[in-house]
Amino acid sequence: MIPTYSYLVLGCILFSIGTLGVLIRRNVVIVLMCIELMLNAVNLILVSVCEPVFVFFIMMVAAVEVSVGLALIARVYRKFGTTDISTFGQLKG
Amino acid sequence: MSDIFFWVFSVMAVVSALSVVLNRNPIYSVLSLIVCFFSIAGHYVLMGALFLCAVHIVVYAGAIMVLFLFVIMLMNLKDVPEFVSKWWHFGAAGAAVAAMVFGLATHLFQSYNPRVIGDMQLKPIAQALFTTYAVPFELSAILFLSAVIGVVALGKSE
Amino acid sequence: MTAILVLSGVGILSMIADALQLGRWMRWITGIGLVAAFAATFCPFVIPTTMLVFDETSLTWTRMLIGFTAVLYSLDRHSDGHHHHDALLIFSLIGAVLMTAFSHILMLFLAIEILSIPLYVLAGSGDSHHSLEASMKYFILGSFATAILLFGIALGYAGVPAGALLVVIGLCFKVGAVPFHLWVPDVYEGSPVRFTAFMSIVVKIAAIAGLARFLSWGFGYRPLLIGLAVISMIIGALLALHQTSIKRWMAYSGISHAGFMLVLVALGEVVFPSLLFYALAYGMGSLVVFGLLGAQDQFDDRIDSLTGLFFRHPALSVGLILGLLSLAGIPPLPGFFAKFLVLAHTWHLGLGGVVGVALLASLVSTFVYLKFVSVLFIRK
Repeated sequence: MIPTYSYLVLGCILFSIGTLGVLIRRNVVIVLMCIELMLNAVNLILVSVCEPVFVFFIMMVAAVEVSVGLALIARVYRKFGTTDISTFGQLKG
Repeated sequence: MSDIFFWVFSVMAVVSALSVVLNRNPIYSVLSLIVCFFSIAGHYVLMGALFLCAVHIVVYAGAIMVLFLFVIMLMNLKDVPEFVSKWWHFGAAGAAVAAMVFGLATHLFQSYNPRVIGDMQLKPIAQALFTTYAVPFELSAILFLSAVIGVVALGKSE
Repeated sequence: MTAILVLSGVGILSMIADALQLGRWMRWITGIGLVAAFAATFCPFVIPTTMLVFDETSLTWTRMLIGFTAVLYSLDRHSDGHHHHDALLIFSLIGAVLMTAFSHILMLFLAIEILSIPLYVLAGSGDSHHSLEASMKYFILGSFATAILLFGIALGYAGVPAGALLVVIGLCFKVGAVPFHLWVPDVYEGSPVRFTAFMSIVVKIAAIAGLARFLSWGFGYRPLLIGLAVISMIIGALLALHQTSIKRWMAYSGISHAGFMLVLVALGEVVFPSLLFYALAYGMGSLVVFGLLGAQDQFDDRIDSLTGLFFRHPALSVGLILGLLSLAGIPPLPGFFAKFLVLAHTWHLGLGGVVGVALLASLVSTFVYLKFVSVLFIRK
């Protein structure tokens, strides 16, 4: 039997990789994919501590987020012709 | 036996996740993410969560990733400079992630409270969804409705 | 509970009305629906569930949120054309109400999503490029914060004590407390003014209420929260000094007020009535400012465009000045008593340093508000 904490460690590693991706990538599509990766790491931890209903809700919300996000990205692409985050510099930070 | 599978799926998941982050071509990133989702699904099987594994594959690999592929194919993303250019962004990101991993690792092993992996089949989940979790289940309909209206609004207003 | 049912019904009705192109009935449906939802908070009917709790606390917050939205909606004159926005606004309000009433962590997560998803779309509903950019930024950072919050929840289930900390960080992002405030000015500036007002009033108060409820479960992050609060107060006030855009200016002043509210949140349930009063005072002040500015025929985001407003529209200016002075904390307006309560509570608990910084921050922000007021009196 695999001890539960090994899933916790794996989940933390995957979450960290996702975070890294959000921080270093400039392409919005990839950033959105990294956020999905983070949510999956969370799901993995939650399954390992036996919270299946929570996982169910996270999957649902992930689907909603992706559909809205991709619609937004498509609109941004049509308007700006790019999906590069760093070109959104017209608003100063 | 399941130990071997655990390691195989874990290495697959980590390597493909790294490949999502580090690949220059978005298409390869999407394909790596699909591999990553499948190895996570493998973990679900190892933990006995068969229903969740099926839902996971249908929702993530089946719906979400196809949507991603579709959008990437729709726009020609070849000309996007792929990484943040400033070196200190890399430094800050690396430091943040390292701090998180170390912070968690020090906390992790002293206080971890493992639970018995119970029954994660279809029937108990369904029962919970329609009894204890009935209200959030209904409210999630509002979330979907607003997503539908939102996507239509984003799509048509040009 | 009844309020949520009524609001859902109104949201669906206005969606259908939009689909059937009954545009001119829209304002009536939404307006009467909001009033009905407010009335429904007094109805004792509850659905038995362990996920939500409608005690006096959450009912008071709910009334405040619905009331603010209703007033905001009635003051708004620019809602022609895009009627699906009404439905999205109502759905977002449902999320805000849920955030004040959750009694299970799953409900908190769901509430944040129901609050945010419509707002991502609403922030991008303006005509300009800025609006779309604001929406994209809000979406990416919002989803990132949600992921961190979920990670915190998962760690909490796994028994790791640091989990609650990540949940608090995720909520602080929604509040707009200082290290997590970078999205606030950009998103406020890019969004259409009616949704900026909704974000800065309803969303901020809902996030504060959610944070207070989460901390009432007994997670002790008081020193951390007080630290965040102190930085927010002072940095929000300082950064507001040099703004030329009204929305950015309101964003920074909102960050400063969020700092004051966070102090009260950190002090726990003893000071709950004061928190409620502060939220009410802040909401009313912002409502007056945004309502009056938004009620102009053409909303211009530059502060300079208000030069000499007092000589053109004296009545409007007097209202605006009252709102601004209340936000600044000038006696005898409600904002003064709200800030005074914060100082009194912190002094009472012996947190002298916090009192000092809070005094300094209110001094700076008084100067900031007076600077804004003085613009109204400059002759062109």
